[in-house]
Amino acid sequence: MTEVVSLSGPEQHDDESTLKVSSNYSKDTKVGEGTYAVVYVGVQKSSHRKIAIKEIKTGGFKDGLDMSAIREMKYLQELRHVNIIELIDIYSEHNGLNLILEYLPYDLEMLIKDKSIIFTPANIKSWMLMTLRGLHHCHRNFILHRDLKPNNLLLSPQGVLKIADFGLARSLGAPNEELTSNVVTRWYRAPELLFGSKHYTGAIDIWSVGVIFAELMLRTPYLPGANDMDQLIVTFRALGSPTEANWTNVSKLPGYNKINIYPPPTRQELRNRFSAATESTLDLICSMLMLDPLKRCTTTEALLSKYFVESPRATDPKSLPKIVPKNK
Amino acid sequence: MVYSSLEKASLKVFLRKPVAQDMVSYLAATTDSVIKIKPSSPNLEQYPTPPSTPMDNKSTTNNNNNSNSSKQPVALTLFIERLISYSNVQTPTLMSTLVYLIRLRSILPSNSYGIESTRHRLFLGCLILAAKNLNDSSPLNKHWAKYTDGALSIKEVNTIERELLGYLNWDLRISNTDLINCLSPFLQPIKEKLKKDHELSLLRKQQSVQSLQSLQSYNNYNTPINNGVQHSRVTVTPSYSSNGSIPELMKSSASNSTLASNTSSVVTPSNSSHFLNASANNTTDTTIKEESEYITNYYFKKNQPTNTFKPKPLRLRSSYDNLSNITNNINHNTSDDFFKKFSEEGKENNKSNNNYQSQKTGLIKEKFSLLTRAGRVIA
Repeated sequence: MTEVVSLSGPEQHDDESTLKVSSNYSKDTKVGEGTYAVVYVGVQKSSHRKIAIKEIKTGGFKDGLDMSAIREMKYLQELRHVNIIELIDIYSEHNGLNLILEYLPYDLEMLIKDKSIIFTPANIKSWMLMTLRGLHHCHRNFILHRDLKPNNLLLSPQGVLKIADFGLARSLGAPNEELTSNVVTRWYRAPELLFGSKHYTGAIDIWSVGVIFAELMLRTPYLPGANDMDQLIVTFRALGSPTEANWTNVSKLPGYNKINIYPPPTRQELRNRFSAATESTLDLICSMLMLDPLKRCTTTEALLSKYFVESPRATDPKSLPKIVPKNK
Repeated sequence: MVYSSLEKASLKVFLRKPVAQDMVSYLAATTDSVIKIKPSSPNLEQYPTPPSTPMDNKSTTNNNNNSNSSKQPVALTLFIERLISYSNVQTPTLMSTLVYLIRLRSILPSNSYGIESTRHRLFLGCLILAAKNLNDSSPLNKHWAKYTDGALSIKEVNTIERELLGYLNWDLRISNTDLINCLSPFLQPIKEKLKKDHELSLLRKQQSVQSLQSLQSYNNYNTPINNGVQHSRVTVTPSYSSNGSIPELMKSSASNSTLASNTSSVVTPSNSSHFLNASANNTTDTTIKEESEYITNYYFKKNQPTNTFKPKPLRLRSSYDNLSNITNNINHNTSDDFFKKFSEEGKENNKSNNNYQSQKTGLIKEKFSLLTRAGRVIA
C-alpha cells in the first residue's frame, strides 16, 4: 500500500476508523447473492439490532468502484422514508464495500410465488399503497428508481413494504441531459425505454408499478418477454400497439418500428383478464399502463385515485400475509 | 445556510458555460492548496536554481521533462487540461471536483505532505468520484488510467479512488450551498450581470406601468364623471409645464436640482436620485442616464398632448428578490397585495420618503378603486 503514503503521508487514521466501524457489526450468515453483491445477515453490536450487510463485489476493485455502488449509496443517503430501505452505515473492508442496511427478510416476489398464500384485494391495495408512497418520495426528490420489480420490493417482519436496490437510480436533472435507455428489468420496462428513448421521466417507474400491480392480481408475470424484441410484441399484444394517434411523436423514437400492429384491448377484454378487479382498479391499472408516457398518471394522481378511496380499505401491514419459514 | 435566488440563478448560468481556461487554472491552484509537497530528494533543495527563461508554454514543459528525466510528473495545469480533453468532461462535473478538493483540504491534516504526483492523484481521484457520482455513465477506471498518459496505472487509480472515499467518509453528496460557496469566484461576475439585467427589465416594466397609470390619471382628471371620487391628491401635479426641454427635466431629476423646492407637495426629485443611487453600486451612471432618458422620451412622447404631467421617480431596486416580487405583482396587479407591497417597500427602502410613498400609494389606490368600481358598474 505505497499509495497510502503517497497521498497522506505517515498518518493512517483511515485504517483505524475502518476497523472501528467493521467491529461494530457482525457478519453472520450469507442469505443471498446477486450479480454484483452478496448479502449477509448480521447484528449491530451496539444495539443488538438485526441488520443486512450488502457486500459489493468489486472484483478486487479491478475497474474501480462500481457506478451502481456509488449510486445506491448516494441515493440511500438522501432518502429517508418508511417505504424506502434504510441505509445505516457504509464501510470498506479488504477489497469490498459494505452497505449496512436494515434487515428485511422477504420480498414481494417470494409472496407472489408462494401459492399457499391468498391475496385479497385489500392486501394488494396495501402493497400498492406502500409502493406508491415510497416511489412518490423518490419522485418528489427528483430521483428515478429505474429498477422496480417485485424482487426489489422488500418486506419487513412487520409487513411494511420498502423499496430497495437503488443501483440503477439516478436523479432527474436538466431536461436536455441524455439518459441511458438500458434500464429496468425487461418485464417491467416501459415502452419508451423499449424504443430506446434517451429522455424519459418518472413515468417509467409508474409503468413498472403498473406491471407489478397486474402481476399481484394475476399471480403470474404480466408481460414476460423472452428477449427485448419479444418484450415489445408481448407488451403491445396485451395493451395495443402505439400509433401516432394515441402517442404523439412515437415514430421519432430511435428504436421505433411497426412490424406488428395490435389493437388496443377493449374494456371487456381487460375485465376478463383481471376478473377480480373493480372498475376503479381497472382505471388505475390502465392509467399506469398508458403507452404514451405523457398520458400515464403520476404518483400523486395514482395515490389520489378512486381505487384507494373505495372499499375495501387497505390491509394494515401487520395483518398482511407473511411467509412462514419452512426449514427452520 | 441560506442562499438567494440570485445565487441559484447565477449557478444555473455558470453550469451551462463551456469549460474554460480560467476554470483549469483555478482547479490547479485549489489542488495545490490541498496538500503540501515535500521535495523528493534533499539534493534538489541545496541551492535554488532560477526558473528557466520564459518561452512559450510548450517548450517550457518540454524542458522540464527533459531536465528531470526520472519520474517528474507533468505540470498540474497540463495534466488537468489533458484529462479534460480526453474524457470530454463538462463544466458541472469538472467544477464539482472543486467541492471535493475543498472538502479534502479541510479533512487532510495540515502537517501532511505528498510527493510530486500527489496533487495529480488527488485531482484525478476527485474528478473520477464527481463523474461517477453525477453522471449516468462514466469512463471506467481503466480508461481514466489511460487518460493520464501513463502517469498512473489502473491499480494506482483504483487505490486512489478508494482511499479518497475513505477520507470523504463515503459522503459524496453536494448541496447547493457547497456549490455556491466553492464556486463563488466564478459566480460573482454572473451575479452582477444578472442583477443588472433584472434592473433593466424592471425599469422597462416600471415604465410601462407608469404610462398606464398616467393614462388612467389623465382620464380621471379630464372626465367629469369621476369628479365625485376624485381626491385633491389626484390632481396630477401640473407643477411642471412641458415647456422645459426634456433632457433638462431629466437632468434635474437625476442630479437633485433646485426644482425640488418649487414643488413641495409633489414628488421631489431627491426621491428619484435616491433610487438611482441605491442601484448605482453596480450599474454605471451612464447606463442609468441612458435608461432614464429613454424612459422620459418614451413617457413624454406618450403624454405630450396633455402637457400636464411630470415623470414619476424611477423606482429601482438592488435586491433581486424584490425584483421578482414586483414583477409578479405587476403581472397581476389587480390584487390588493399590489398596494400592500408598494407601501411596504416604500417603508423598507426609503424611510425618509414615507410621505411621498403613502401619497403615491394612496393615489394609485384611489385610481384603482375607481377602476374596479367602474368595472363593477359595467359588470
